[in-house]
Amino acid sequence: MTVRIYEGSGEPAGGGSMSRRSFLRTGTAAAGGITALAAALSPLRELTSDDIPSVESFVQKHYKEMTPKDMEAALARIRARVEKRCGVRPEIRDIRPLDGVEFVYALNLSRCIGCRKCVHACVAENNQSRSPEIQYIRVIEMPRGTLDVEQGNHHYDRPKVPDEGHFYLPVQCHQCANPPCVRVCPVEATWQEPDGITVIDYDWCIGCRYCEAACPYWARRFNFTQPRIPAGQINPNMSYLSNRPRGKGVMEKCHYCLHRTRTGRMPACLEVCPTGSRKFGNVLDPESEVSYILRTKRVFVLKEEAGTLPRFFYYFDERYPRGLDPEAIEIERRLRAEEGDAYGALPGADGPAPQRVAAARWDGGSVA
Amino acid sequence: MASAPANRRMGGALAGVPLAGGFVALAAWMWLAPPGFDPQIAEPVMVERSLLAVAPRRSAMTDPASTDLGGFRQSCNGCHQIFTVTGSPPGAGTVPSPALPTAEVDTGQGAARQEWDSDTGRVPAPPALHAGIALRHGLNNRCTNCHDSKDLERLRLHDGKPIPYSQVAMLCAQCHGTVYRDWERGSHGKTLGAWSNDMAEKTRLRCSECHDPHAPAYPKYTPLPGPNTLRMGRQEATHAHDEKHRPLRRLLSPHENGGHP
Repeated sequence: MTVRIYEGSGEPAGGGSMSRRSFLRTGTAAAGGITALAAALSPLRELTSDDIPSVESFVQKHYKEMTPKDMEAALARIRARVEKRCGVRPEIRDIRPLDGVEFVYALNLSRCIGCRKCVHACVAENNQSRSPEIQYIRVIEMPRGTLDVEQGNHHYDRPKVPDEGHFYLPVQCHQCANPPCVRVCPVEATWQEPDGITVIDYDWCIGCRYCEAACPYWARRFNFTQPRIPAGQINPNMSYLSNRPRGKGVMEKCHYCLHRTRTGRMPACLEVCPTGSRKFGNVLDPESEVSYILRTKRVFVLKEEAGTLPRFFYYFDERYPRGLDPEAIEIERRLRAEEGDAYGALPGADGPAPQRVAAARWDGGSVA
Repeated sequence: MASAPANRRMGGALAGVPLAGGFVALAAWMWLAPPGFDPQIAEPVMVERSLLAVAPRRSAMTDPASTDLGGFRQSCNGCHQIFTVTGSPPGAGTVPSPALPTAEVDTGQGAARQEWDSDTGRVPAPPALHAGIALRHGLNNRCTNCHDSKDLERLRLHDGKPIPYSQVAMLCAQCHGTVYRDWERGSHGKTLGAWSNDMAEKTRLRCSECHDPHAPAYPKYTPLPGPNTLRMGRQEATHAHDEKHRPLRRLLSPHENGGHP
């Protein structure tokens, strides 16, 4: 067999046989090609059986396109996968939104002490990866007198909280009514439900992380690796759109614990809060706690100028937290100077001047 | 005539041999022992489940009021029917007369005055059973402001009307009106169980299930561990204004921070 290789001039080289030069050039190119191919394929060596989807799950439809029968099959597959991976038989359901319900969160900044219990209760409830760590809630320690989150620090590590010079701003998914994360998703793997919760179909997400970049609240998290959850820490109460275990390469975020809240219960972060700072409810119900707060309290949303219309509101009880009102501190200082040891006695029949009543209104003795 | 260019070509081609060999070796190494991506992932931070328990912060007193006495539950009146308390001095309402001597009780933070047995003018030491009570309730530092001096198992309002422990909010509301208003409507305090008004599981916690009535201010808490993200790792505790956290600002204005121009 004669290999005819043409040089650049178009003339046959070396009378029909391959020249040394062309052999080496071809060989170099081939070796380079093999190298590139090997490098490109080498990650395949790390594949496990978990990474390779079954045919059924590969052709699984988008959440909104699934028939009830499709959903049953999908839930059965998830059940089997979770049982194999985590050793727990989950109770997984697909829970639909309730009619006439729009969820709203309110958080009392006057009461939050920054103890981070909500962060870890959320992780335990929602089966987030423990290592690498994924948390939906960030508690930002903010210097008093500003709402510029650039000045905040979420890595605070004090022996005791709260610190007098700071307030604490927990941030999680705001379930925006105009969510930028939904708009940028190229595959519609994330959308807003009728009850206001923005959800993710973890089986449809392609992991492009556009939504993470679009979110002004840093609420979305990406699974860079297979999530790792220690044995015995899986919460078996799951739903398709909320806390079922995620895979590598998909986004996740807070979903207001929809497997709890759509059955009437409270979110996990709220129930664990030791101060009662967190309020949750149906804003369409005028009798609900959140409706009362929105009507009567000083309420604001974070980054209002972004136009996202969040369903997560922050509010205050009073102008200053107890013991930090400069006016009250000044009154106390003046009365102490005027009255000396008698300061603090309750006004009585034969006793103190009326101005003490003003001081008594301020519960200064309870400052920790 | 063509020998010089041919030699040059030959030399160039020969130089490709080690290059090709290098590529082949690289291919073999990548196939056999891929370098892989080895991110530094910290060990998981474990938080004790007990710290995340969903329960009222403290167990409030219920009717009938009782105390732990040597391992037995003992009603308050078990002792107080024998050791009576005369309460506040006559004619002064809940306010002690300045002429009356008072006992200083060390409550850890400042002193609270006791008004026991005012008739004799002598004030006994507070009973050992009450030594665990730290009275830090601001200006409200008289026992009988809340406790009924005639029936010490009960609370009473300022007008003398007794109220059960289950309705303690009415007692607190006498001074903390705005907080009571917010608690009634749900913006103060804690709701457990359910968000829906229609569900029976919905429970509102009472004042004394979160606040210690004798020291109502919240204690400081030890915060749970902070974030330990894949990209950033655990950070040192730093002040918010630490320039370490603001590399961009440091770059943009190096003069401000004494950096090199």
